[in-house]
Amino acid sequence: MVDWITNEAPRWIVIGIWLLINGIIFGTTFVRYRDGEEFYYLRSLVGSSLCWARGSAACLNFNMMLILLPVCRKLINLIRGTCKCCPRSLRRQLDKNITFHKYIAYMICLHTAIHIGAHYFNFERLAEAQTIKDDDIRNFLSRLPYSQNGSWINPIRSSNPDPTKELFKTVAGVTGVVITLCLIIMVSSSTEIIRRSYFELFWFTHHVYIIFCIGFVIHGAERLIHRQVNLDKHPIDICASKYKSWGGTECPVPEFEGSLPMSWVWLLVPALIFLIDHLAGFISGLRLVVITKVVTHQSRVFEIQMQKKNFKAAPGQYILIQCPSISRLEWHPFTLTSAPSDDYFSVHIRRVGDWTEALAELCCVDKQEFRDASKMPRIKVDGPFGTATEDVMAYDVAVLIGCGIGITPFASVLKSVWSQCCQAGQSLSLKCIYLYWVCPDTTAFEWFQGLLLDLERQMTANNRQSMLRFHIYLTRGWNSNQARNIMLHDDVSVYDAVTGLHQKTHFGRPQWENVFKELSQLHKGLSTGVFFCGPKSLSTILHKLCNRFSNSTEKTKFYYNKENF
Amino acid sequence: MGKIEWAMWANEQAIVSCFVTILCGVLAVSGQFNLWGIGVYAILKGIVTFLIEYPRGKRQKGTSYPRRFQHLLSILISKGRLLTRNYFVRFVFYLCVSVPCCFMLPTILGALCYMITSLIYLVAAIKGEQWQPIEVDKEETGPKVIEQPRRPPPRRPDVSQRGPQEINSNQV
Repeated sequence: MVDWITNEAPRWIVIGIWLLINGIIFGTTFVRYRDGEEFYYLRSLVGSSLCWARGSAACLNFNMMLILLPVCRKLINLIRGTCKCCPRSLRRQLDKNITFHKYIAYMICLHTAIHIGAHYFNFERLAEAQTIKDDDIRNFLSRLPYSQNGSWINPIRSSNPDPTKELFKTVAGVTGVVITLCLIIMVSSSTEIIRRSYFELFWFTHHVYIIFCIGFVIHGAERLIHRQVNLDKHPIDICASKYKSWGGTECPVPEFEGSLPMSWVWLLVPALIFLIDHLAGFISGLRLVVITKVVTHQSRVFEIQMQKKNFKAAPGQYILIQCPSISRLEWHPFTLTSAPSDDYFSVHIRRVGDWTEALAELCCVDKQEFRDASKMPRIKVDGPFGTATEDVMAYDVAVLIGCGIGITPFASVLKSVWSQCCQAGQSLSLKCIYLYWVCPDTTAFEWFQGLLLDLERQMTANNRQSMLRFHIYLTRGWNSNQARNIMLHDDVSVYDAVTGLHQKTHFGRPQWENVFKELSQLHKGLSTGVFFCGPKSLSTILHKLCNRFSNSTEKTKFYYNKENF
Repeated sequence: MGKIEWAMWANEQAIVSCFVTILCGVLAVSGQFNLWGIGVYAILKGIVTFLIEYPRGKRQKGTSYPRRFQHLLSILISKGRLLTRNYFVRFVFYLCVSVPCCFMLPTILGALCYMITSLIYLVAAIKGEQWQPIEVDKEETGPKVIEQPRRPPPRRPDVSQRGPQEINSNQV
């Protein structure tokens, strides 16, 4: 039976609540403007499009409040840290922050479309009202005196208006056009292909959000939407039909006042949080970082060991690194590979792009001679930030699945499990760790192998070897001669021929279905945390398998967690 | 991260512009505002440019990601030679077609979107980019033959092609 509750339900509940709030805000605002007497005359000018415009504006306010929050790294880290006691299923939602950011952005796009569409109608109808010459209430309303502290209702004042020109005479019109263009640019440059292939483009264009937010706040500053303020002297039900005799004692001329711009109230708190979040990042980047050691590993990987004052990390966390001499704008995320108990912190960097190549050059990875630490490049470090992997200890069984370089987040996890294991007094709820490493070639093992060997030795020494189980899958990278040699060695030795570990290397890709079947039988009734770092296609397969093999009657549960950057 | 191919962004921006323009056109027509004929024009313009922009070009480096079912349109675009493949032509074209939309309130956003698109295309043209069709892998007819693995997995000696003695001697 497929168990949806474990992995899917919490997310859908969060999304459901958010949708519900959106619906309520839209509905109540819509009804308020549809039935409110103070908007009666405005409605008689522009019709129901007023309600649509205001409803969507209210939802835009709400979503603008939310959209900055999921991208505050420090805030999310803080919540994750303080929420240790709150339910795990809730905390896991924090890993999906970017997904929520996207959903909120979609909602903003939808409401922007509604808002603009409705305002087109409003504007055209207001312009049309100015041109009506006959005995119509709209004609009367459009000609209300301009002077008396803004007691007009039709913002278009010229007698034969061109709506296009009128649009650019208003603050709301200009800011509206500008911020919509900003939004469109942000949307078009954050499609998957741009994000994946030209990240810088996405990153730089996304910064028009600054213009977007400023424009958003001053959009309503001109107070174009006027409501009636003298309803007690000028009741709608009596006076509306007698518009020709307005100005007498019975029905004085209706007075109007613009409603105060409220958008800034919604944006203020999240904008402050966002600002503090980024400032904190900037300040923590200023603190001195000393590179203590650079280690060159096989297959174009190098390791940087660093020290920084007051730096504390939990297993599985990542840091952002910036190197001013390469680029002052680029911050790159790297997973920490050192354990919390180490006196340094380290990252493993694979040389694949311009930036990593340049950093390798600066750190003199290729040169053999010794270099003084003071000659190392200056780097800035922000973090550490938490990821899903932090929760490894909270499950009964942990299944860590890494593809290629995706093994790095688990390095520090394994290290810290080992150090906690060694402290006899500590009891771990974690009973068993499975490590699946799918790797393309043999050379890639070497830098991680040392750690695994160490771990294995320690575990055997403490008689805990059953706790950690490696499964290494080699998918490519051997020739036929090697293949035979491996096989021959395999038969003779208790150690694996490739890695030198107790547990033998598998060749080819793992059959995940069998793996999960076995796991679910071995650990019946236990909660298993599956942690994955690797390509998306495999992530989907694993996610589905987790759902399929979770069983609510037997309480065997697979919690799926994915590392994402 | 490699060099930025501006045409890729221009293409995405063009697709978004198409949707914006069509939406604007629909609003203008449904509202029956003054000059609603421009709305009809905007819808047509949106559809035509959507057809031009739908097939994604080949990336200079790395894997290209064709859109679903873009193959037929892709042939059409590559047949158009300079007219459809040169980005400078697109820059001029989009700038020109966006002009009529400036005269009507609802379509003005669409016009501005097209102007941004054309500017990005100008950058792409200056950087010397050009639309290249993505080659389609020819589908093989007949029964599918799974190729023999080039690197045999390590198996027991008796399974592998050569006999066990030979291997032993190899090892020595």
